[in-house]
Amino acid sequence: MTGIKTHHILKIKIMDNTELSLIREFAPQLKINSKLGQAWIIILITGFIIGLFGLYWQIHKGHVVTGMRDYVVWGVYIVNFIFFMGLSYAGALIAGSLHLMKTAWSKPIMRMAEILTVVSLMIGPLFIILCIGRLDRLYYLFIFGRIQSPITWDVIAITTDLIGCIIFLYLALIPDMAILRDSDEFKDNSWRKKLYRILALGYQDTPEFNKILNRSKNIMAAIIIAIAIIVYSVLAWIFSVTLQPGWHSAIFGPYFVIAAVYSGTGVLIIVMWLYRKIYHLEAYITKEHFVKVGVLLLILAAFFGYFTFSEYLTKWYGSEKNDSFLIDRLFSDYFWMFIISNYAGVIIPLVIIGFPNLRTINSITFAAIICVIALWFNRYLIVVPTLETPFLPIQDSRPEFLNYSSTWVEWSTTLGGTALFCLLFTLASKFVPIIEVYGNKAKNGIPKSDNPIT
Amino acid sequence: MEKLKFISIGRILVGVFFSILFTLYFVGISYSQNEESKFRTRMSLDFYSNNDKTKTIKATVFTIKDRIRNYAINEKVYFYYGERSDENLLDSATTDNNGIAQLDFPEEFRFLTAEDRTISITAYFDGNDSFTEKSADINFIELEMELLLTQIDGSKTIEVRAYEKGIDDEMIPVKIADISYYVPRYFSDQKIGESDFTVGKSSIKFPDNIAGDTIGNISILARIEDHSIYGNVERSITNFRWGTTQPIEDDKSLMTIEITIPTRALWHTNAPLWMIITLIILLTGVWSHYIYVIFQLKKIHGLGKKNKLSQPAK
Amino acid sequence: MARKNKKSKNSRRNFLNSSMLLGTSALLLPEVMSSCKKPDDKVKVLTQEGKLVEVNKDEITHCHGASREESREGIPNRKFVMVIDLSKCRNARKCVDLCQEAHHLLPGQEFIRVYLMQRSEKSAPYWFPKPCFHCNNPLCASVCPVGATYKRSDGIVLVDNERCIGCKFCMTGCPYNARIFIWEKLEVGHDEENEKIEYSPETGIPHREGTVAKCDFCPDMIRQKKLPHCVTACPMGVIYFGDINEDSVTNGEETVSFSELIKNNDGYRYLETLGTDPSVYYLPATARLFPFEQGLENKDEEIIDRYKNAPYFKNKNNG
Repeated sequence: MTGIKTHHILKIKIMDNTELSLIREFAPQLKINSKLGQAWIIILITGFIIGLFGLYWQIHKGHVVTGMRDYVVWGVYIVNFIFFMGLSYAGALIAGSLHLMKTAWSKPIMRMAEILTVVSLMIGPLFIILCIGRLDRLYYLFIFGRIQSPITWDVIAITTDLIGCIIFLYLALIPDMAILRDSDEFKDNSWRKKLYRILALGYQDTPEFNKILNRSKNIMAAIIIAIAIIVYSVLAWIFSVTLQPGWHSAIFGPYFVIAAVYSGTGVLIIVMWLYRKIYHLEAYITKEHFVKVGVLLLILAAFFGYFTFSEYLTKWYGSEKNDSFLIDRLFSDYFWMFIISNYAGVIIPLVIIGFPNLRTINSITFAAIICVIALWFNRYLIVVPTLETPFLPIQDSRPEFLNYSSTWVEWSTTLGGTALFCLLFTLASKFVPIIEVYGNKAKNGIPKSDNPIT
Repeated sequence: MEKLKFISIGRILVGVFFSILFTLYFVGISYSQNEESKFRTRMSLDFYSNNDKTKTIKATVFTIKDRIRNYAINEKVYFYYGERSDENLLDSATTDNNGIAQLDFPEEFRFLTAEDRTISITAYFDGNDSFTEKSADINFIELEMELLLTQIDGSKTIEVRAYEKGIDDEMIPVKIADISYYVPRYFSDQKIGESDFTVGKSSIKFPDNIAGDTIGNISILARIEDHSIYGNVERSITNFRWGTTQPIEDDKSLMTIEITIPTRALWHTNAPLWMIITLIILLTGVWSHYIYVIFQLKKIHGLGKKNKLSQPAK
Repeated sequence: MARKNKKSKNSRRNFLNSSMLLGTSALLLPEVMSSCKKPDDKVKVLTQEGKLVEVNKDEITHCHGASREESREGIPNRKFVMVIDLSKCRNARKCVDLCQEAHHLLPGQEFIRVYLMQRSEKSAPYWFPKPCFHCNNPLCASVCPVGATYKRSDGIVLVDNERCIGCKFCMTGCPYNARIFIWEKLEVGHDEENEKIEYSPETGIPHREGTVAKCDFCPDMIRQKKLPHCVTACPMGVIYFGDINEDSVTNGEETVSFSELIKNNDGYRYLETLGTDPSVYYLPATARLFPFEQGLENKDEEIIDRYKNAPYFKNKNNG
């Protein structure tokens, strides 16, 4: 199994059996060859098409087919938008900060975090676009944009963040691209090989290259962390600069950031679990990883619970009528949603991960699932009940305007967006190794080149 | 034979009688139906002496149903001096969209007056399919009126002098009349006071809370409204400031509201400067890092090319 | 005044005459009836002299508002303000009806709404008409990302539906819920007449699907020195409108000094502490002309239903 071709002699000093075997292990994932994989992709594409149909129906009939009306003008679309954007900040923060802290244990999951960031940054804006009444005028946001508007801030911020995260992901991918380019798992003339060659930019694992790459990665990691916090705060400010009771809160910025990282970490755990199961990566993603990320989830759950409690305690204790209308509403019409999101969503992860005996891979993943569901409900509870209890009580309007109930159009587009999210993830894992190959060679006792990438 | 004659004459008479009744009945029904289906017209006839000394006579033709006015549009109204006849015809006019038929006369125009200096005008409307015919008349004497502003020892007054022109051009002071004072505003005229006449003179103290326009100009209208003898008389003084050489700031009786339109505001098209500057600083900071990294990538690309060339495959 | 018919003494001529008359009047009768306009074509308004008049509907539909560029400039040297006298309002809803007519709106999309408010549990409820307040510090204009809603120099806040992208941020920004959204393509207002008119933000018709609309103080009427429709429609003269620079407001019948009106009647603005600086003032409902229950008499079930969540009824049901 030497398989080392002569014209790869340049790479001999880097590649060897272990690395080849690593590639051979990952390579099968890179090809769509299992029945299950194919079926999965077909399911996702179907879901996406359902979403497209919902979108077509909405464009054809107008926004009247959604459940939104003159009082509750923002519904499921905005909730999904905030939710998906939130996932991305977890990826950015985790990838960025773990990189800067140079932790060794996080290597296998970094790639997943980076891909999570980019994919959810692409899906999030799709949902906000669904909420816009005149899609044909979307470009007005750029040519007529007003700087005073939080939506303009959001447009600028998301664009900046997306580009930054793509650059960061790319920087992380370069060494793996190089390895894939040099491996012989793929035919030389295949499109994959060509793509890898282009994307690798002629990188070699030498000190020269590594110095440049390291510097760039450090810069981008720091910027990504800052940008992620700013972008999600801007999103929070879209709500908090209005005067609506329930939104006009000073801690919305930090609250949203914490909730975002929390939900993103939950999704990250789920992604870890899925990939581990499907691609049999038990050797690389161990219980230790789950525990470490789980502890991160625990800390974030505590912060999230703290912010939520602080927010609602202030509203409830003070006697302002608008706040008390909102609290009454939350505890009457939305009681179960409130319990699941703010109690279960905090306590269950705390308990499961807090007790070392309870920590298993499956239980931690379960906690992550609860976290994700709870956070989607939390977003819903932030957006919709406030709009149902405005300053002026809703009067002299038709009864159907009083409450918001989402319609099939909104759910079908949610399904479509989620399917697209999973689809992009799946396709990404087919194209790049889902675990960083480059870093792993150090574990196997192979002498690294001087000044490797850390 | 004579009996027969009587009987036949009697029959004929009875027949005539009943046919007359019959005819009357049907004619009456048909005519009254015509009459009932028409609306009872009302007409108001007014004389106006305007503030540019021109004169106007207005006839408004309308009906009222359920307390709602319905104006007759595009109908001809004839104006006569007194009885309706060709030589008495003054003029005719057509009603506009508001049902008003209007005759305008220049300042020099002299009406035909009777010996006691009254002018009698009658207006006739001949009716149409939905309006009955109507006429109205008016008797009035023309009034000479002038409006003055006086300032004595710092107290400002508006003074009106009104008199009738006698036969020998003497001035006969107005006897009894109420006069109202108005300030013309954008949508309507605002009343600021009223007074009555003593020996042809009337005055009010100029109110001290009247707003002028943006440069402090103000106009005053004085009107005698719906007088039984004089009709409507209006005179005005426009665009004055008290003591024209005085600067506005010293004139405390005229309120001037400053109009300031901000050039930058949160809600304005132009953003506050600090926002623009902050945004530029932030964006430059972030994107400069991006551009730097992209250049680094280019450097890697260049290095890669160099390496490939310098180390040929064996 | 009546023209007298000459009666013929001859019975035959009589008979012929009368039958002819009968015949012709029978023919004329439908003519006479049809020359009266159908009741639907007319609408009742209050003229500036305070007289109740019926006008043809076409007279109240829009003449031409200014073009999109011009409508961003206000009428020079004016600053419009509205005063609503709550002691006279009895929920006649004529303001709502005429505004709906003039702006081609469907029921449920109202620019001006009438609320049943109560200052506190023990105070008497009162009817509260609420148009857009045309705030001097408008949150809606601050948050619009494309500048589709703007405040002009004469104080009027308009929406340019050719610029609006339908993000609805302004609707969440307005604390008074003054805005509505056009959720689907409206059939009303899209007839041939209106399609030929160049779109103007001052009239807002024809409506554009997927954009926001709101009370606009009828700038097309104001440009012609006519009062907005709600002012003329109100049979009680509740709404006063005018130029604050001239210190004069009128409700069609009487013209009063704005500052005197506010001073003598303790005029206030709703939710003043929000800092939006509205241009609509309210005169408190003291010395009422009617008990508020009159506002619920002779109304459709649907209208009465709309008030069942008003605080007054809620408190009655609870306590």
